[in-house]
Amino acid sequence: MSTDTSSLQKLQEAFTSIPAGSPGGDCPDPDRLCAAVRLELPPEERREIVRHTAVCAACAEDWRVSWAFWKKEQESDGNGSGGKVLNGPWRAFKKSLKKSLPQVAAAGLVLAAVGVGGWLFQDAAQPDAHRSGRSLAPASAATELLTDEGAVFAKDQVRLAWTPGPEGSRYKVEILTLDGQLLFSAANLTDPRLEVPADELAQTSSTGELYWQVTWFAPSSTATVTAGPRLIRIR
Amino acid sequence: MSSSNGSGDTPSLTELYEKLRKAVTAVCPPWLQDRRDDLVQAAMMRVMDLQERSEGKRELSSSYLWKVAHSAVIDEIRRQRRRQEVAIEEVTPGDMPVPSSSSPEERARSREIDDGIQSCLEQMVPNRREAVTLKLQGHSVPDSADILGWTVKKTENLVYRGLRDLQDCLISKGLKP
Repeated sequence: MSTDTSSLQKLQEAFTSIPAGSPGGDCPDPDRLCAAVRLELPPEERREIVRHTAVCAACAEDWRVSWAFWKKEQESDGNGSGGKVLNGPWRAFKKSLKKSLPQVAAAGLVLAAVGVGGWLFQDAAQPDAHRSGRSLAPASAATELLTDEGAVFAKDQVRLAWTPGPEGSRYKVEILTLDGQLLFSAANLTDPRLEVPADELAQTSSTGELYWQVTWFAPSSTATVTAGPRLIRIR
Repeated sequence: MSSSNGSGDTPSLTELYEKLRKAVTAVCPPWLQDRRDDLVQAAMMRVMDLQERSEGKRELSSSYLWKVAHSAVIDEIRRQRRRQEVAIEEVTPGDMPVPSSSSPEERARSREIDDGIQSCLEQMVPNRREAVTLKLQGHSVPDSADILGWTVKKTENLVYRGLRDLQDCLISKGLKP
């Protein structure tokens, strides 16, 4: 590369020390910026935000903080301190999945929600691919959401799918707005797929962006596993 | 706050606060170090509010809660930035603190370089601009490739060409960082 290390370093120092003013009207909102960093937006939208950070020092700084935060999140989920809140039934469920689906190695699991206290203490059960919003590799595709990240649906044709749990598992599907408001919930499902009734999404926001998530209920214990949230778009 | 898995093994709020504080401390920009408790509070409030609203209705995955905290931190940084700007606007020019580490000439030069970099990036071919921006932000090529949705090879090429463009552009403006 023609740019030597010291020149590159100087350029980086100069770029990252450009004073940041307040974000303007064309700046991405925090949710969108965070989603881009977490690779949850489609590549074209991520590139659009990166292009913007080239000329907006405020968003460039937000991007750096956001990236660092995301890395901390991954470390926190993967630092093993989660053992404190992983209870017996959860471990048993995780173990039973490992037994019945050897290739899973629990990679597709997102930890069951264990209350606010649990979320910062959980272990590395969720894979990088899931955390980053990328599709999971086929070898680890046992407990994952099958509907693509960012999939676009007509309001009356929202079809969601996920991989089945062990025989007898029940599922709960929830659709939420980006700020976490519950729009739709269906519990006690036995099939790993769902067609959302058209009138349920009548209140969708103008952006049409929603999250959905699935909770697996193990057949023989009280343990649950939640995957998601994952973004979908309603047009 | 209750545990939704029925374990009853829920860490205290103090523990949660401490964990989040560590994460925020690690990512907080230097100019905000003395306000980092505000960032933590904002994230905690958002998470607790969400948890309260969802009580008994649904379980929240850890990744979802992280997202909420993540977004709250960025939101709060923007709020603090706006606050600082207002505070600076309210100070009369004579009261403005003058950084002792650099001369007015150095500051002017630094400002010129800042503007030069942004202007050169703005003129750059979009895909080179994207690749170089991430490089300037400190991302590795593989990370940039993931973010931009390209192969590592393509990203590497665009970083190389983009950096060359940037240097040529800065030189043409008589600038050298």
